[in-house]
Amino acid sequence: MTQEVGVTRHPLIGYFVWALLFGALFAWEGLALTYKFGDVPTLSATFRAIMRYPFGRWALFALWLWFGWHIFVRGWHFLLRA
Amino acid sequence: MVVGYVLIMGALAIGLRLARRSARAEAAGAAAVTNPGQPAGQTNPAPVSAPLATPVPAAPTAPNAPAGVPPAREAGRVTARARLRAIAAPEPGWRRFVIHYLGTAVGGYLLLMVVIIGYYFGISPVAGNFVQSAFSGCALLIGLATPVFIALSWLVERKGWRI
Repeated sequence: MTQEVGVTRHPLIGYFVWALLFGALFAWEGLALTYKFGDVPTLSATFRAIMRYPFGRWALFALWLWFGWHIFVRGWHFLLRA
Repeated sequence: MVVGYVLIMGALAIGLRLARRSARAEAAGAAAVTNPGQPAGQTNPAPVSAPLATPVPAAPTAPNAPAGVPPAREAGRVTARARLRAIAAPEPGWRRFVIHYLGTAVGGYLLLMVVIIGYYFGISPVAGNFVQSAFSGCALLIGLATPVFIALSWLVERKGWRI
């Protein structure tokens, strides 16, 4: 019998705030892609603008490293394990 | 909280300074291309008394060289600058690719380490081997991603792959 990974329980409002933040991010990207809101840059256009400068590239690479470190290295377990 | 604020503001200040410096270097490079005899520090110094709209004619015999500097020394300075620029940003190719990649990877790695150390010692000491894991884990990620990135770049640039 497989043992499930223990998940710490947190107040529901915390999850709700994260959902709201990510929802806002994707909603903003969706609005930018529709071209109906003037000159709203998409996420890729924003990244392109940031990556024009060395410090912007460092910051984005650091963000990528931080994300990858948490997902794949720190406290790693097989991703499909429930 | 104050430490976090100082870290973020410091990072933004460094970024702004780098951006302004690179813009200034680009302007100096453009000035050197149009007027090779002129040093980078002296980009079209218009006379204070002259109106801004009045173009300053360049003297054909003395191309805005500072007084007292021999032409040979001036030419040597320009050549050294061009050589430095060629080392920092060479022609498109593998050398430029490696320099660009190494600069980004090392810069991003060091930036993340600075932030993590600042967070750990200034804001909240996270339990476990947080800092050691950050150093080794991020280096491992770069080591794993580098050959994949180089292989994909080669396939896209040399073999015409579409990703």
